[in-house]
Amino acid sequence: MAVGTTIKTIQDIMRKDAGVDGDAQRISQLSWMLFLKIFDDKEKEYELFRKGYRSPMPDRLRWRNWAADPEGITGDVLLKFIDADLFPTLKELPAEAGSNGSGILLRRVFEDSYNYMKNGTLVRQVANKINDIDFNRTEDRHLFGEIYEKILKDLQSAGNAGEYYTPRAVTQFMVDMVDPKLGESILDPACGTGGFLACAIENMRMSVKTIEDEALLQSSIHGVEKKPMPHLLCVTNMMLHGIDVPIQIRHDNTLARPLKDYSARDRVDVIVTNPPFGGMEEDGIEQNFPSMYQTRETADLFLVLIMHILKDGGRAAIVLPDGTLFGEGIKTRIKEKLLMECNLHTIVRLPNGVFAPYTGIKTNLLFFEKGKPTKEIWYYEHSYPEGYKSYSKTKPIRIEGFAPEKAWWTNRTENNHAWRVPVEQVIENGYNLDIKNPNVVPDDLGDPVELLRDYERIQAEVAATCAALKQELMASLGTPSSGKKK
Amino acid sequence: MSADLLSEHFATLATAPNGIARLRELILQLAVQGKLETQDARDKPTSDLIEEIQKEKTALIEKKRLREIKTTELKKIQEMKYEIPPNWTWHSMGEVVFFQEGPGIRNWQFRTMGVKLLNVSNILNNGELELNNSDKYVSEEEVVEKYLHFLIEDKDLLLASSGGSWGKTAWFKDPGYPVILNTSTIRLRFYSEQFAERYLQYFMQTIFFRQQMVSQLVGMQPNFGSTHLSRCYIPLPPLAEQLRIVAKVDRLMAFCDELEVRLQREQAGCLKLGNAILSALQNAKTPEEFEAQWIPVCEAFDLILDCPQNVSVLRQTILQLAVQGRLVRQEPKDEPSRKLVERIKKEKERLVQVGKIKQDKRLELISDKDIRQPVPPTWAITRLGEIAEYGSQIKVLSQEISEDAWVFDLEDLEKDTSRILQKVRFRDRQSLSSKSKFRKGDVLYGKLRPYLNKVVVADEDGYCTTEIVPIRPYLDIDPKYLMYALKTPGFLAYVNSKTYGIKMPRLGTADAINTIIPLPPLSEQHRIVAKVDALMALCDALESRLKERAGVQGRLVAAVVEQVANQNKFADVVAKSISLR
Repeated sequence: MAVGTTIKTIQDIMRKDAGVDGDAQRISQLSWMLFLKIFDDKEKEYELFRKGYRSPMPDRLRWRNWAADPEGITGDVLLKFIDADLFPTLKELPAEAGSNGSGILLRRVFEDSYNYMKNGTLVRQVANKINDIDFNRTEDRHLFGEIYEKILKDLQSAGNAGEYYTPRAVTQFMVDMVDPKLGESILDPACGTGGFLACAIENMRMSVKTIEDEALLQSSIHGVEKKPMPHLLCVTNMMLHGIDVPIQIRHDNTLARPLKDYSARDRVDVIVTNPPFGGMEEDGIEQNFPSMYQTRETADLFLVLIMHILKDGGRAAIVLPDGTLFGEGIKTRIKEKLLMECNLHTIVRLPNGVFAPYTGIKTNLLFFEKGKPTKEIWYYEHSYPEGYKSYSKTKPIRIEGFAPEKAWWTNRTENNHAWRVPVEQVIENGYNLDIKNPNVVPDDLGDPVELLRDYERIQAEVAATCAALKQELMASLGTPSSGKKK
Repeated sequence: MSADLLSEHFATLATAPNGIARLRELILQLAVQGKLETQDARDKPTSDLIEEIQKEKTALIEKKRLREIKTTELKKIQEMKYEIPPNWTWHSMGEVVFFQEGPGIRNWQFRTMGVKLLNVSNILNNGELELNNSDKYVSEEEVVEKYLHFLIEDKDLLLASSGGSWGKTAWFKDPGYPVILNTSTIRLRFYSEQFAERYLQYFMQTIFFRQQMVSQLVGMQPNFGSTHLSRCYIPLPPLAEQLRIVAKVDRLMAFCDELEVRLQREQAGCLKLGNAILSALQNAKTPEEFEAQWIPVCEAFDLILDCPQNVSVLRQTILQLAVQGRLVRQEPKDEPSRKLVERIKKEKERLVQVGKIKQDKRLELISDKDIRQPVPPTWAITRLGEIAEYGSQIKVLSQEISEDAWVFDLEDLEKDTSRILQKVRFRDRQSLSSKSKFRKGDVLYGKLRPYLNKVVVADEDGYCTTEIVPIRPYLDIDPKYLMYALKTPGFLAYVNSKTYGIKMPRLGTADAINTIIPLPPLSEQHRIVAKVDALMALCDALESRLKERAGVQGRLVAAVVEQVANQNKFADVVAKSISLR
């Protein structure tokens, strides 16, 4: 069964519960249950392969012992168990519980969560539905994006905060191009459900050979998410992708920390992110930034932050709206800084509809490297696949669609989609990065004389067809002049 | 190409989609290129006047009454300049035109009375000014304090400078109370009153001016100010010619207005005529009446079928005539369809006895009032439920459907045309709901939103959504005949009177099976189907050619405009041809 449908069913079950009020609470409820289930799956794996693995949880609280059996405890017994045992115990879990430090993780997750449901029988139904989802289908580990997307759609307010789920193809393409290597630290400062990080893990895991390599990988993944629900989903998602204790996924607002407080220790090698844009930050957030870059547009603040916390030589790929490219005022100063301090080597311009149905605005993928100033910028205009007028839910953007960019990436020439702009030209234009494709061939309208000839030909055809139709009808209905039916 | 050829095809240009609008663009463009036969070599250039203006401006700037605008010239705009007649001169807009952008007035400054603020919406698309459709004011004290120089003066030209409708212009006529400029509006006037002010207005409607502005556009939301305007160039003819150009353009615009009205009237008339005579043909009761209605259709045939909309009316007419038995000849030796109906009845009784089907009690008997249109004597009046199995097919769960089975959904079928847009296999459409099973040869009828007229004969076995009803004709009844019968305007009218549900109107089973179907003898059914197929194919061909024609017409007009805008030789031909009007 499609995950989207299962989630819908679960939401329908929860809707019957008197305790759960609104979609936000339903999602929160779903998140911690999903987390427990996946945590348990992981533990099963560890028990098999790791000697001396000790669970941080008392046995009775593990998913397998109370939720996995569809005929297990239900009704008031189940409810009492969750409210009086599961939550209190996990919230008070000692940090040293468990053999791999996952006690802290569990405690943090459950400090952030609540059991909203008031009907044990319905909790049982939800648990059974969750058991139906097969998270181990290796061909698609990106279920969380899908789940989050489904949920976001119900939370109509999502767009207001500038939160948009990044399509899988886009995350994949950006990570492929930035190509994070094993041993490099990677950060997504607005990680959502962890789509970029999951891609990065997959990319880096290909070069993991030894246990030490794996440990290195585990320690190099960093993420920050402001909202509790996607944060919990991200933690769960990271566990699915083999990060044992995703404690480096923090529930925090990256922008809330003053820029100057970031020390060399906090710097990272690679940043891949899709910052929320169009959203406004709360009062005071901009105070954390130097006064010449103070703005309330979230995406701009993130851009400043990213430039700041990249190591020298660090690489970044970031999704930004058109508005940032052509914007003036503070945006100009930010772009000036970007071009001075970083080598903004590539901008991939995406067409409308990539982020459908959340927003129709045009977006761009910016790729840059810190340390050297920009000399020239390559632009690539991503075009729709043949036959597409726009992307939509049923016709989403696909990674195959990025094949031309990938082929072009290492062997760059100007063509109908790609063009090169020297940085002087950008500076001359007041740091306007919104540069249109100069290589578009204008529609050839054709020669009027030839068109007139075409017109005359078609007009003759129209007349002929009309005559044939009339003939055919007269054969049936009679010729009026003869006054007789044939 | 000669001017004559173009003149000959003038109607072709005018009747193209947006043709008149293009024609107006052409006229304006030719006007500012000096090609509208208004030239006189004896006219003196305006240079003396310009010098005078410069002096006045310098004086004003010294007195601080005017701020000097420093223009940065843009190469891409300079390159747009074209060749002009020898006694014309090029100027930057700022040189000869005074313009002032409205101040940024904020929401909190708005009052319900005081001095009226000009709004973009006050400038109408037709070039008129309507001050009464907005009511924003600024207090008099504030105006006296800061905005006095923004007061709009009589005979100022007003320009909307932001939003989708940027570029609209209107003349300000003193309304008897003060009005001040607001954000997004600009007032303009020539520095010298000797210049033809209307030349300025016409100039600002040309493609040339718009292109200069568009080339400076950044971002999604168009927004222009004085800086952008000052970078534009304007060609200035001698004073006398300015007046002649305005007069000529006025006349040609009036001609366009007239043409526009005439074309609209012709178009509407054609539709009305087509509708009237074709429905009269459908509704004729007696052979005499029919023959009388057929004559006007024949006479006006070419005329009415020039509108694509009338082709669809003709399609409906053809279908309606088909089920009236008018389309093909009746053969006396054909077995009357009464016999067929009787055989079906027997067959059904047998099936009921063996328990294969159930007698539907909702099926009503035919009464006289059901016979609205007389049918030929060999025909029978039947109900749909009498001659076909309506939707009693087996429902299957999705699990039972094989991967490569055809799964048919309403969205796969194009409305009206019954074209199957896509054939989806089960593996590509993982649907969970149960489906109806259908066989090749079943008539598939979309009962949801029946006005969409979605009916098709299945060319392969498959499964369909329960919103599509498989109708299986008994014995040898031609499914395509049934399909055509379910597409007649008569049936659609019946269905629309019977549907229930407002958001998702559906046709109920009882109403569906009681639908009246006039049934011809078997061999006549086949003949009708063949005939309708042939006629529909011709309608298809006609429609696609009409569409193609409109496309070529559109391209033709665009190409002509482009040639003129780019000053190709062709421009002179067009100028000549238009000047002839």
